Amino acid sequence: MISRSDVLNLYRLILDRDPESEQVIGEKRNAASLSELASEMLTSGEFATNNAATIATSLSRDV
Amino acid sequence: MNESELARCAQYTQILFGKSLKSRDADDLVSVCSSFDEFRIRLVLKFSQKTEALKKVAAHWRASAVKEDKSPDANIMLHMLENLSRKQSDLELKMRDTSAELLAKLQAIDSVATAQAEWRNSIDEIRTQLTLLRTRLDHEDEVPVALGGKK
Repeated sequence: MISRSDVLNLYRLILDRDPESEQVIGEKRNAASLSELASEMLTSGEFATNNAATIATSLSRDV
Repeated sequence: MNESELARCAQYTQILFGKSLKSRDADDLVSVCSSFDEFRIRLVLKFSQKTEALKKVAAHWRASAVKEDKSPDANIMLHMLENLSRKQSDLELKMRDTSAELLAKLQAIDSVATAQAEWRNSIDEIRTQLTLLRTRLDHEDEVPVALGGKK
């Protein structure tokens, strides 16, 4: 099981915010692994919306 | 990037790749990124082949970018604008805080420099008085008994 502090760290590192509630933290702690949870956040609509410009720029550099 | 952002880069790299990525590779990328926001995306794109989960993330972003090229969504653009505006406000706030800190430090340095100058003046004055005393002593034929001369 993923630790509470790892879930908090991931939220802050990827979504730039804290989880909505203790219930959400509890749910996320059940993810298969830390990298799976990170992937889930990185492919979320929220991340895409907040980072659309950076993703577009980075993709054009990555080509 | 500042110390705090560099620490976030290291933490993020550790979570995504563990020991499967050489720290030198991540450091090279840090040196060409202007912010943590840029780093966290470019890290995934550059090293996505190292894990299946990140391969999917990179593929998802590429697919979404193609879709957006075809039909730009006004709502997303609005969100982007709001997000950029929020980041600008954050940066302005940070800049204000940093300027205040800098001003306080400069004032502290100024106080120390003033104190140092005063001490230097005092030392010069003491040195002058010592020189005068020495000159007077040299001209004294006899040292008075009160000052340790022989009876």
